[in-house]
Amino acid sequence: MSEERPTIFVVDDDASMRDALKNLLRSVGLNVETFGVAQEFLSSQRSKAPGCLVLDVRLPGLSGLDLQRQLAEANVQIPIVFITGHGDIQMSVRAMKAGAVEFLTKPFRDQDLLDAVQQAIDRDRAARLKQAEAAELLERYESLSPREREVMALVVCGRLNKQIAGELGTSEATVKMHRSHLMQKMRADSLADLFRITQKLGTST
Amino acid sequence: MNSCETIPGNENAVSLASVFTTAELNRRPSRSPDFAAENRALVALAQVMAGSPDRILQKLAETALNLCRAHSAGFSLLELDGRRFYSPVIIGQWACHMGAGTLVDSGPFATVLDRNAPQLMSRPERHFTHLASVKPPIEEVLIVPFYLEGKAIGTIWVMSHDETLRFDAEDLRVMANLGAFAATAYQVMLDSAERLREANADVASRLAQIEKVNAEVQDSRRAALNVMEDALRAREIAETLNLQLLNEVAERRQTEATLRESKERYRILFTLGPVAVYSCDASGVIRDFNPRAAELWGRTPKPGDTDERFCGSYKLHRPDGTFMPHDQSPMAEVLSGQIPEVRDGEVHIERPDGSRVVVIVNIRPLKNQGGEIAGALNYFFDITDRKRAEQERQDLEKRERGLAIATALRETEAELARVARALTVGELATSIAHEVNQPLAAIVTNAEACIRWLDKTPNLHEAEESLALIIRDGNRASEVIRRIREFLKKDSRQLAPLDINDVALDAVALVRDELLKRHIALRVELSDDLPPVQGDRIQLQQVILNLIMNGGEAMASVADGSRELAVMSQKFGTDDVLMAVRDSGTGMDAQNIDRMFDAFFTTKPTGMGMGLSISRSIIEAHGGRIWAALNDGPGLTVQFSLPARTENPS
Repeated sequence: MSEERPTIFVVDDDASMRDALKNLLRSVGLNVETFGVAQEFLSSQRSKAPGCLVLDVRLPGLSGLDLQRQLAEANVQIPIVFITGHGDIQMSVRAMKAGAVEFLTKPFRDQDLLDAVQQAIDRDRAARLKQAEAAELLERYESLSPREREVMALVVCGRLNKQIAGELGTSEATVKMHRSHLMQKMRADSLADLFRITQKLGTST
Repeated sequence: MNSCETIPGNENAVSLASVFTTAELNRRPSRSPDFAAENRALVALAQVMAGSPDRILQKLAETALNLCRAHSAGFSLLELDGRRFYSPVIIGQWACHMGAGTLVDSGPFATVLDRNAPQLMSRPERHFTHLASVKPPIEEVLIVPFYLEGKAIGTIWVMSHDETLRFDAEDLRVMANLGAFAATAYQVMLDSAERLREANADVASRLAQIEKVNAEVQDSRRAALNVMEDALRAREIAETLNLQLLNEVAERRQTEATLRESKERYRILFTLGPVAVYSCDASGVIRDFNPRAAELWGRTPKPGDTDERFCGSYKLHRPDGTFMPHDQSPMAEVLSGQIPEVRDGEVHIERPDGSRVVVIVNIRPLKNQGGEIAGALNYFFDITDRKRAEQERQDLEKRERGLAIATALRETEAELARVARALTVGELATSIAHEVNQPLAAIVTNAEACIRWLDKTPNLHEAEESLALIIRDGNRASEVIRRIREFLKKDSRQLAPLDINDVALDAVALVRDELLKRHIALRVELSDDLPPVQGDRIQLQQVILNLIMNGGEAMASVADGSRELAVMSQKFGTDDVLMAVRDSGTGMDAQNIDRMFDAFFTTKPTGMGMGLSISRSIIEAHGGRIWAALNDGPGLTVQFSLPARTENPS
């Protein structure tokens, strides 16, 4: 799974600040896209590469905090690093509670911003991986026949083959066959492995 | 009664009774009435009354002269002290005696007043011997007394000066009608003269006698209301007269003309006088109004228009300045029966051009035969000038002074208030900080990026680009600083001699609502013997605004009932003035008091720490000093002193 270079999206209404942020982030080898207003970012096409949003709190029109809320409502999961000219505690608490990675006050130390951005990228990457894994597991699950799904549900509930055969009104040998097929399809090495997979499926679907 | 009424010292005089020949009027052959001429004359009179009431007596005399074909006609009016008659109007052959005055008990007119009815006298000099020398001699005089509210006013009379003219019963009838008219006319004339006098009165003496004038205005208003009622009564009389005409001149198609004239007369009577009148029907739709009403409204509504309900004004306000919807006006309340009538209510009318008139309203319901309210009459009277005079007097009272100015300010400068509020020192500092902070942050970030471009495997091109950005942003920051400097530059200050109290009151007016919202009681105690200071009104206003807003914020955490803010001024030392703002807030740690005025020092969660710092710069630029001290009780007092203006500011 070859990964694209991370892209950082910068939204700040101040041109100087935009240029400076772009300059700094580029100097450490990151892709940067800048926007002057929140709406511009919302309507832009974003790549599949991991990345994060560096967002000014005070923006004309839709404010940074508004944008954060809209993204959450639209189920767009992109980590956000907030920057502000003069932040107050209340504002930063709000932003952090809503899932921001960091809340920096201008002027900030470059390392602080770069650390925050790195942390955000890691977070995004992890989220993407988790998402990809969940999608993969779901695919496996969907390859099961209805009968295999029934058997799997009973297996993870801890039933013995005999019990399952009784419950489904079939022979123990047939249950064994289904069980072997579904372990294969789900790529589970052991019963414990199957448990783990179904748990992941349960949380991501 | 004969001899006792002869004038002492005139032994040759005949008795008073023998000069009275009233009884003869009915014995003489009488000419037939000329109702048409009389009617024309009455309409002409009413027009004069409505148009130029000061000419009404003259017009009445002319009418009497013409209708009776008399040789002379005129008025003898009782002077206010009741002891003398004077003749403001005499026309015809006797015109040379106009303006003459006689003692009440020495002339024929008083005897007529006593008898309370029109009288004819023949050759009165036979009894009143002092008239013997008066030329031309009086052959006959027909004298009609008239009264206002039961009080004798004077007489109207016609004379003949030789035997060719003898008055008859028809003359008596005509004169009696004119006498009735004269009473109303007289009051209208007095009233209009009164208004003229008032307009010309010297303002200073008016202020001095303000109480007295107020009382007089009250009286004259009542009198004017009475005139209106008299006028309406006169209308009934006139209509009765019309009915008589109708009966007597049956062959003429009089009905329509009479009706028209009756309406016309009503219209004219309606238009006279200084009182504005309008009427509404039961649903409040305006039926009628006079020109004075339209004048006060500043507009002319359309009678009968169902949109014009309760009042013809553009907008109404209560005396406290709040907006009064038309359907909550006194007229609406009377029509709905909520209150039986309105006596001397005060309402403020706003005209379409924005000007305002203060009026006293008197509303009486009109009831139909079933006793239900069928409409109402509203008499209203302009008291704007009187209110203004009151206001001027109040202005002299120190405590009221602030309120009056604040009200005036609020009315005329509501727009300015919003702008100025946005430009308080604190706001200014915040926006300055933001403006400067952006390029500074950008510079730091670019510089750090530049270092990274030069790290390990240097990228000289990118490093150069970074430096170009730094130069651009550096220039931008210095541009911001330059603009602020220019803004605060001494040259741009508008120095003028100022009453610091005025400046404080301006500031108070701007924040009064805000303080109210925050449940802060505001006390203004300004000393009225302060010398003027030399300064920039706007800057000093912003300092005071800043102190007030700081004080208000310091009390945010204090219980509602004990938030008190005092704005005070007093003399300081020998020449200086002191302005202090005292709050009852949380105060300040003693060690911080000296740091309060330093830039970036703040105790407020969202403060910039710039307001007091800039305030200090402004005060020091004015040659003054600013400091703070903890109160004995809770809270803090921040005050500044300014030197008084010297005569020749160098």
